[in-house]
Amino acid sequence: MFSEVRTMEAPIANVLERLDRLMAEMSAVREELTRLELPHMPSMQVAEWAQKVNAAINDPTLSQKEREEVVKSVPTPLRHAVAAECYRANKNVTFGWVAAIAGVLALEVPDLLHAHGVEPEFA
Amino acid sequence: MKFPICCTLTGWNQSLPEQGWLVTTLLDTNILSVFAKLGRLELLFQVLGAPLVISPNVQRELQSGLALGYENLRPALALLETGQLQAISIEAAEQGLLARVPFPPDKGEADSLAWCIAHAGTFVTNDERAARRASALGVHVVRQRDILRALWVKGLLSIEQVRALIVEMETRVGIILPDQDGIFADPSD
Repeated sequence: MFSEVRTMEAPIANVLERLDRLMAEMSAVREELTRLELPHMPSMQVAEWAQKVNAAINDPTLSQKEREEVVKSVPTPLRHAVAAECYRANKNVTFGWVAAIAGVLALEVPDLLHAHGVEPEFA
Repeated sequence: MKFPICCTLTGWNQSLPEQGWLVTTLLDTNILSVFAKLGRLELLFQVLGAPLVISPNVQRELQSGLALGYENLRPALALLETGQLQAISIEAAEQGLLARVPFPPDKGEADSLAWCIAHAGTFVTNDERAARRASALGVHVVRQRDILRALWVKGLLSIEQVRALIVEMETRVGIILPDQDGIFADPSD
């Protein structure tokens, strides 16, 4: 009985080792993918927040105060990315809206958009 | 710094106010900051004439920019001190409109447009989306490309100088203007 257990240990250890290697490889690939896509692909979290903010901007039944509350609820670390995504996805979003969402000055908006791979529409 | 004032705006671009119709022209933050960055604020005065004004929100944005180290905004603020650029105030009538315009109320585009709606003013911007929304609200809009076109049509700069200015805007400020052929189209067309 004891010897049977010992003979099983070696294949299990091999499988676990292979699994560890696979997980490490997957993690490295995921990191590389994130690095490649980061400037142009918003994360799921950013996309969800942008959708929420854009819905508020487009909703004519909301008051300015209600819109502002939605804009201010965006988590601080995501504000720049959410602002750029809102501009990309919603033609009603002006430089002023981007500045309000991102918490930057209006004159900083073109640079912010460029940094996130979004082309500002100049008149 | 004194800028020449030129109010004759006939025969070169239908987007600009007609001669003899005294309008107040409000500049947004970005258009001022672009011409300030290039050190060419005088071109705005030469093309648009007087009076040129800014809203309280635009004034605040310029002051905040300077406080954050955007030194190139200093000449624009200096024009306020000399009175060549004036700041309007927002009264009760405009406050009511401010709540209705579809822009963030603390931004320059919002109080500028509220004022333009109340007083038939002209709004000057380089934000295409703000320009479109302002036009939809019935506000007379002058875009950055209208200013560039006016510069050569009025003979203030040569076509080559305007082309060089556009290149400078691209390289120094990152502004890529669409429809550049339209800027240089024959005025008689």
